[in-house]
Amino acid sequence: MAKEIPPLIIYTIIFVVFIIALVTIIPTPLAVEKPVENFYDAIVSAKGGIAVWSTETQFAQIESVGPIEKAVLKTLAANKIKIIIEPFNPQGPQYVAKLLADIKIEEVYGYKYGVDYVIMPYLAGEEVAFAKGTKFEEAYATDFYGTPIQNIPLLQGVKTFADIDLIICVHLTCTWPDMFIRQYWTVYHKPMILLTNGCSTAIAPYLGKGVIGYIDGLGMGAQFEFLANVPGGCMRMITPRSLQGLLIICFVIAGNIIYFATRLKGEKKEVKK
Amino acid sequence: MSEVYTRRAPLALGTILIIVLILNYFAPTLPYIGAVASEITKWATIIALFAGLYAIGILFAHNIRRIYTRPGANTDFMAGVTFIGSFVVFFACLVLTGTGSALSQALSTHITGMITSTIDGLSLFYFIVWAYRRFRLRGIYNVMLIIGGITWLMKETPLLVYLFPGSRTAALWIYDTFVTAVTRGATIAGAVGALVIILRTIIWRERGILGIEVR
Repeated sequence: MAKEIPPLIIYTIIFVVFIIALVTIIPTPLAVEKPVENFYDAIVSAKGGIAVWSTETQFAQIESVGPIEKAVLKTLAANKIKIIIEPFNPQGPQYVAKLLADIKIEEVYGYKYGVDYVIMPYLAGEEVAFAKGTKFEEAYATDFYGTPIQNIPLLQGVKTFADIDLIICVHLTCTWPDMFIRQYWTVYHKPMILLTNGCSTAIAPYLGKGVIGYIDGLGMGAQFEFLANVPGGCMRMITPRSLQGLLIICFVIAGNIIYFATRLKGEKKEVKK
Repeated sequence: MSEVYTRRAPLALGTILIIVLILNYFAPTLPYIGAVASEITKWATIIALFAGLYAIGILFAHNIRRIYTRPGANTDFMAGVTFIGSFVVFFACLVLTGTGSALSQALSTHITGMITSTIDGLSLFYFIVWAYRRFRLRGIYNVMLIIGGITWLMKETPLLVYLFPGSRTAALWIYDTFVTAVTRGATIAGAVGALVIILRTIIWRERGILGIEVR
């Protein structure tokens, strides 16, 4: 009778492949998908304008989503788009501050805090907070660092989402696209692009009906880096991602071979009886 | 009397809030409606923050109880000590230095970030073992699941897209045809369901969870 592969053997193989992925690079051509292309085009179309960065990411996602966020922030900065950051996670403000520091937004792109970008404090309440956050003066008394918003130059002529050019929603909760559509697009009809990790199914109903484009995970992130010419963390993940996919498919095939071999032997034994 | 507090009062409050917010959404030009709706959403944010504080309080109390009531049970005791210890350290650092300080950022990056990334990394082992054990061609539903899953996985694997360009086309066809149709259907069905519940709540025919949790 065919035997199942012991978990220890599986774990060992995964570990070995994991090590190989760390030290090897498999050059793989990248084909850019339409949602990524649309995502990039939306940023270019908003060149010189103002974008809202509505985010729920936190330090836990620094490896899985951080590289994509950095690529998009770099592209925004390269297109001289001013950014209003609205975090909907308690760690959000510090997290985005770290991302911006990592890409050296002030040193490399000449951005100035308060003039070209601003970080708002955490707003609790999910959908209610999204609705509230569309009106900056009503939602916030100060920015994350305690400066009254009346003293922030970027927010002088920008009162609500009606005054901005692009909405970028960074989310990992797959129920959030519904809320973004309800509170952002339905009310303000502004171009909206989504950055996520594993929620493309939840975005599907709204593609072309509010959502212009999206990036889902490091694979599409790599396509974006390639398209925007900002090579970084996502492109470095291409080899591990390829090996991971291959490994899963190999194990699924092995599992099915064992399953059918077991059934076949069982049936033969029954016939003999 | 308790029925009034646990059911009727919240229902009445909920009904008023729903009506005001619906009016604000569909008829924002009505007099005073914008100001009232704005005040309501402001209070919702404040209540959400207090709910968060309440949750922290419950977690804190639960873990202190774990330490005192189960000193012999190692796992429980250690989990309680770890929670309280890390809570106190993080809280003290955040309060003393401010949430935007370098120390707070370092704590978040080098402790929270690293631990969660490690857990994410470890989960890869379980995902693969799970796929190996569960993705078996046992019946029609499993066959559909495996075809859909493997096709999507191939699209997400750059090397396989390069070797088999058709896999990407197939995955996108599944996404555009089935996934979009099904999720749109589910979204519309969910929206209609939500609408019915809201209407039933307004006319006090929907009990919902009001009163259940309190008892």
